[in-house]
Parts: sequence; C-alpha cells; structure tokens
Amino acid sequence: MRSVKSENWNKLDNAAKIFPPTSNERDTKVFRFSCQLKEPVDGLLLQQALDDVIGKFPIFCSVLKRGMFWYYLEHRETRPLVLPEHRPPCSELYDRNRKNLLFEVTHFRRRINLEIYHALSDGTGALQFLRTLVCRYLSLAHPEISGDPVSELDYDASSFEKGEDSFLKYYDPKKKVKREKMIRAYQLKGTLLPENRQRVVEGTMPVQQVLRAAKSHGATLTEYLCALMLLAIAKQMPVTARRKPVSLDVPINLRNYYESATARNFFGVMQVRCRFERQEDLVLEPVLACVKQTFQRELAKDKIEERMIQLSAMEHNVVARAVPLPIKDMVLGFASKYARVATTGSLSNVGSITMPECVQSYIDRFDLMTGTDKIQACVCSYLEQLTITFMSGFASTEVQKHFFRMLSAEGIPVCIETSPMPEIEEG
Amino acid sequence: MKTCEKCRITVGANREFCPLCQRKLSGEAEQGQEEIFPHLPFYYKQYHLFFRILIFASITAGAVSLLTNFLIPTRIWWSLIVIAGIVCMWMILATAIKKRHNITKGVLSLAVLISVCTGAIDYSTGFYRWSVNYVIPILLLFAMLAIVILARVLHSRTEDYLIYLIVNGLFGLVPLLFLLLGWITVRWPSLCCIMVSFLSLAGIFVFSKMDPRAELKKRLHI
Repeated sequence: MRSVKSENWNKLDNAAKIFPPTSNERDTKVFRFSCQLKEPVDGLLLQQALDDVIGKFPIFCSVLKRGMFWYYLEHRETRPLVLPEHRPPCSELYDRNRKNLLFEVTHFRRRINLEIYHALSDGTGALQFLRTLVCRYLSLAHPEISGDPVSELDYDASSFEKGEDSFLKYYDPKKKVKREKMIRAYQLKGTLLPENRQRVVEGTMPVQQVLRAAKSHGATLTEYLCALMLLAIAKQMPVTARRKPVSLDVPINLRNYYESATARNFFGVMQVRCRFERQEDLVLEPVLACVKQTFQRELAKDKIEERMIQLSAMEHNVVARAVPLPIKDMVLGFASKYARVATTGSLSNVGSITMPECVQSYIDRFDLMTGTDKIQACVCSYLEQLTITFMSGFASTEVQKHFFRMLSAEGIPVCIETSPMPEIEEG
Repeated sequence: MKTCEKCRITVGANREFCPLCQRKLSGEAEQGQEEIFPHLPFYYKQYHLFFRILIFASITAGAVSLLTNFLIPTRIWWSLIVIAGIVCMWMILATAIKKRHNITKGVLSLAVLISVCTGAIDYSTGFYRWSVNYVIPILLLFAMLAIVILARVLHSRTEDYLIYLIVNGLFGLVPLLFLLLGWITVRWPSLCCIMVSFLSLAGIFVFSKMDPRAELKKRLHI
C-alpha cells in the first residue's frame, strides 16, 4: 500500500468521452503510427529512448478508470515497456478490468510502432510523441548525429499545454445549434476476417505526382483522395444499394482553427456524402465537384465552431452529466450505433510529417492506421513519399483494388504492401 | 520487384499473388524485399470442455427438476427455486470470471450479488429470515476482510481498492436498516457487521495515507 498524491487525474476531453463506451474487440478505437527506418530497430535502445522521452508526455502515463458519473485518466508511475510486435495491428488496448497503460510501443524489423487508445490522444498528439521518440532513438543509435534532434523538433509546448483540454477552453455556452437530420448511408457487407482481424493494405507513391493529378482536376490532395475513395466504394456497390448515398467521415484537426498545443484529442468530424444513383454517376468529375462543395461548406469558420459546440453540448448539460456511468455507457453505446449508420467509411489525412534535417536520412517513411468496423483510409506523407493505408475487417479487397487502380491509371507508380493473413491467402 | 499487370502496381514484399486482385504476379523477387508486419497465426478460441459440461449439466438439472415437479405435483413449485438457484450460480460464476483481473472489485460485486440472490431465495421460500439473520451480514463482513487482505497480499495501489472498501463499508450499514424494519430475529451477526463497517469507514478517514475525500471527489466528479 503506497501513498499517493491526490491531484493526479484528468477528466476525459469531450471527443474522448465517446470512445470507452463504444470500443470493443471489433472496433477497438486504437490507432497506430509507425515509422519505418532504413535500418533494423534495436529494442534495447528503443526502450532507453522511451524511458528518456516519456517524462515529456506525462498524460500518456495514465490508466483509464471508471467513476460514478464519468471515466477519468489517472496518472501512473508505470514504466512503459517496448516489446517486439506480437499482436495484429490495432488490437484492443483498453480492458476495463485491467489497469494498463493506454499506449504501446512495439518494433518489427525496421519499424517502430506506436499504438494508442483514442481516448488518450488523437493523431496529432500521437505523432508529436512518435517524432520525439524516433529523434531520441536515432540520436542514441547514431552518436555521430551532431546536435540534439529532440530539441530541433518544432514542438516546444509545456507539459501543461500538452495536457490541456482545448474543447473546454474554446467552448462558448451562448451559441446554440440545431441538429442536422441523419441520412442513412450505404454500408459495406461481406465476410469478415476471423478473430476480428483487420487487413492492412498500404500503398506508397511519390507525393508530387499525386499532387499534380489532384491539381489537374483543380482539387486539393484531401479532396481528390476523398473523391477517389467515394468512387472506389461506389464501384463495388450492388445496384440495389444505390438509393443510399456513400458517406465518408473526414476528421478535421481543430488545431488548425484554434490555437492549441494539446497532446490530447482536439478534432471534429465532417461528413462527405455523394449519391450514385445511375451508372453514369461513376465518373470522377461530378464526384469531385460534390466533394469540393462539401469541403467548402463544412470548413467555413462558423460551421467548425458549430460542430465543436455540438460535441461539447452533453458535457455542459447538467442533467446529462448527473446520469450514472453504466447508464451513460448504454445510452452512448446505442446513440453511436445509431449514428454509425450514417457513415460508410472514413478518410483521414494527417498531412506532411517533418523531421529535423539531421535525422531525415535515417528514415524511410511514416504510416498511420486505425482500427475500424467499416473501412478506413489514413494518409500521410514524408519527404517525397505519400502513404495511403487502408484498414478494414472485411475479407474482400474490392474497394482497395478500385482505389489503387484509379491512381495507377493516372500514371502514378504505386507500391502495395499488406499484412499477411495466414490461411486465407493460401486458400 | 514483382508487379501485377492488371492493377499496374508493384508489390513490396515477396508474394506470389496480387494482394488486390489475387492474380498471379509477374517479375522476379528482389533481395531485401521484406514483409512489414509479422506473420501471426490464428489461434481459434474455444470454450473449455469443463464449461461445456457445466452448461449442459445445468440445463439437464433444470429440465429434469421441472419435469419431476410437473409429474409429481407438490404444494409449491420447488423446481422454479432450483432453476433460480442455477441462474444465480451462473451469474456469480460470470462475475467472478469477468472480474478476475480486478479482484477487490470482484469480491465486492460477488458479496452484493450473493446477498441479493440469497435474499431472493429466502423470500420466495417463505422468508425464514436465514438470509438477513446470518448470510448477508456475515458475507459483507468477510468481504471487507477479504478486500483488506487481498490488497495487502497483491500490493494493490490504494487508489485502486480504497473505493471498494468504502462502498463495502456503506453496504455493511444496510443491516441497520433491516434491524430498524424489524426483519431480524437473531441480532448478533448484524450488530457485528454494522459495528465493523462503521469503524472501518471511520478508520479509513482517520488513518488512510491517501485522502479519501480526494478519492471520492475523483470518483464522483460530475
């Protein structure tokens, strides 16, 4: 029985509140950021690097506990351990009966993987952590690197800023918004992989060529990839399902709109919806026009503010707050199941990842993937390389096939890698 | 590098078939092409045979007692009590297994669950008061002891078990209610339970290294 200080806990930020009641074995709400080096990773050195940098991110050393009304994060002095990769990507991390940390650092050959439970942090926060870790690792592995790469990272937030709940900071209770009507979207169907496995299909390609292709259609990279994914899903859709629209969830990083350096969640989600009622709709131009229009509408300043307020509404409603946690779990579980019918899949672009110049030559590429019960594409780029990673629990790879074929048809050289699926590939 | 002519893509690792369209790949494998994920075989989860036998035995026992009761009618439907008992057993077993990684909480949940089960069985069999007289107070008393001992033995963190001790202490005061309602005919077990609960709650607030008010504030934040 050890004594503890009392002020060592944090409330979940409001985007995170939805994750614990809705995560399960199939939809784990765990995402993985990986960094692929040009050399094999040394586990012992990686452990040392992790020990060195974890102190900079105190919020990561937390366990999730259940209170009477809300979940909360409690600080733990547990030493996080580096392990060789031993589980399928994005396996469950949160078990309500075990008090374990909500992230895991693993390595496999040339790759360093950081898996995080979404209640703890979002892509941006995780990326800051991974970049710091990789910089520290490389400076340990290569004493010849001059200078300190960790201090050259463009991330100098204080511990307080990293642990801050930015939703709370920017919530304005005077603004009221009305809810939009939910539209049922087309749902992917088909055989699932056994044991809730997820298949990773990853394509790497030169970023300049994809940018050029997007520009030639007068679109940004995210808009272009979004349109391609909508089209790829529509191409494998049975004719009978065509009366429902295909809808993608696209997360928006709110740090681009509000000043914040938090390492916790700070994002909103917009829906990009497109209808494919006739065979002639299956061409890029009209889809892209629809996507561009949606982006313009949804990314307007007051629309973003509205979305943030909507997310925070429950947290600021006194009656809803006083409902005991088991009932909240049930209600939020049902509500999210209901809301999930509105989306077919999702696409998130974390953009270009930069590293200090002195370590750039040791790194091959970065990639990102998210556990999902639908289909999810994650996009990021590093130097010249663009990585698009699909993750889904379905045995079929039709969407991925159509998507990458459209890119290669534009003359872009695509290199595909997948997670091996033992008995399935061999029949 | 191997390529798929139909998809017009190259494949990073050394595979025989295209991961997108399952067509045979062309081209030669290159040196240094490696998988980026480890090969993890499926493990095929199955229920242990012991559990299957237990489940089947429970179903058989329930069905046989129902049939016997139907063929040889008695004043009360005793078979329903048997079935209720079986359901209770499974609820208790499920709780014990589910909470095995959080033992202090498991002990509390089991104590409360068993109390409710025995209370219900006693009530439905004519309320001879054995549950409120003996079972419930003694169970809550020993649950409290068990939590303290387990926390010591397992080196649990104060913030992990303190709340269960407090809640157990509060449940331990429930026999006071039974006493006031006049349900109790044998007083000493209840009085012991109430006294120990009261003293342990007081002890927690006086002696605990961790401020129980801070723990409560954390657990009860709205």
